[in-house]
Amino acid sequence: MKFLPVDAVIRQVDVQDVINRVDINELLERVDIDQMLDRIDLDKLMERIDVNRIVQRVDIEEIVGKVDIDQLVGRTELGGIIVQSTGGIATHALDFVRSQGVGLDEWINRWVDRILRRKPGVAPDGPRLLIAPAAEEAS
Amino acid sequence: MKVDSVPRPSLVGHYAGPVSRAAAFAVDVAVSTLILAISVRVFASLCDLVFRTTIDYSDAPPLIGLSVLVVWLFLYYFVSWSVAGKTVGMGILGLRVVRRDGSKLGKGHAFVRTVTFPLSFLFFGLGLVGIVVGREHRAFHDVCADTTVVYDWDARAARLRILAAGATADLAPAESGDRP
Repeated sequence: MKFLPVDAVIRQVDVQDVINRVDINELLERVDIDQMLDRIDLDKLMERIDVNRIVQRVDIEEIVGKVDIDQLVGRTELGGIIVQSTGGIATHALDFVRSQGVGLDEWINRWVDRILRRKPGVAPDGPRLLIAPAAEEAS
Repeated sequence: MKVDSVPRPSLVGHYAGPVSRAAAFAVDVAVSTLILAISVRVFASLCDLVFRTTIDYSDAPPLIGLSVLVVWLFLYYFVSWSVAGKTVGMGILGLRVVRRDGSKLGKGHAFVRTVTFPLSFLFFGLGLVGIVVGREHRAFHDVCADTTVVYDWDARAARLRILAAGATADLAPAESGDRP
């Protein structure tokens, strides 16, 4: 029996045409994925991966920036945890009274600015020593 | 009228508005009056117990009563502002008195603020107009003492608590509805 060199055979064959003829879906149906996964040693695979390098590439700030904290707290049980840990009837009452006060303050301020024809946002938010550090922190 | 019941975060250090300050003052009036009334009753009871002397306040000259009231109110506001930078009412409403630049209030400024505080109420409260229309919301006594009033509470934590309370309230009926 005479053997031909593989390269010579491949050169004669239209590989693309062969690939086109193969029914991938049928092939995949025959494959037992579970069995294949069982053969993989995940521990060994994980040892090869540099997790720290992957984490360093992730922009945590960007991810956190995309998270809607309000929605998260509103939808998850995190809300209940916060209520249990920090809540009390007195705290809720204080929050409510203060919130209402601030809301009414802002409402009056808006109307006063409108009547006096002041541009909103022109007036300082607070004393220099209290507002400047907060603004620096935010930026 | 649209009032946001959930406060904006990071309000600490912002100038306090007229409603919060008026509410704090109302609480202070109630608290100081209550403490004075209780003290007067306790004092009368002690005199009766120790000296066997019954004090009838209706016989006392009005000037003495007025003097006691003035001294008590002076002590209430001066001690509160100089020690804590806030009164009981301000503590409840989450307010604090600071110097105009934001630094801590000293005893001298607290003294001037306390002394000039009643003057703001003269002429139908003319000295209080600045709280409503002023850019820095300062009353006459604030201008005299070089002070201002700012919010001093963690609005961000309060916002989370309010949102959390709303979420818990939403969850409660759903959970009870799931039960057979």
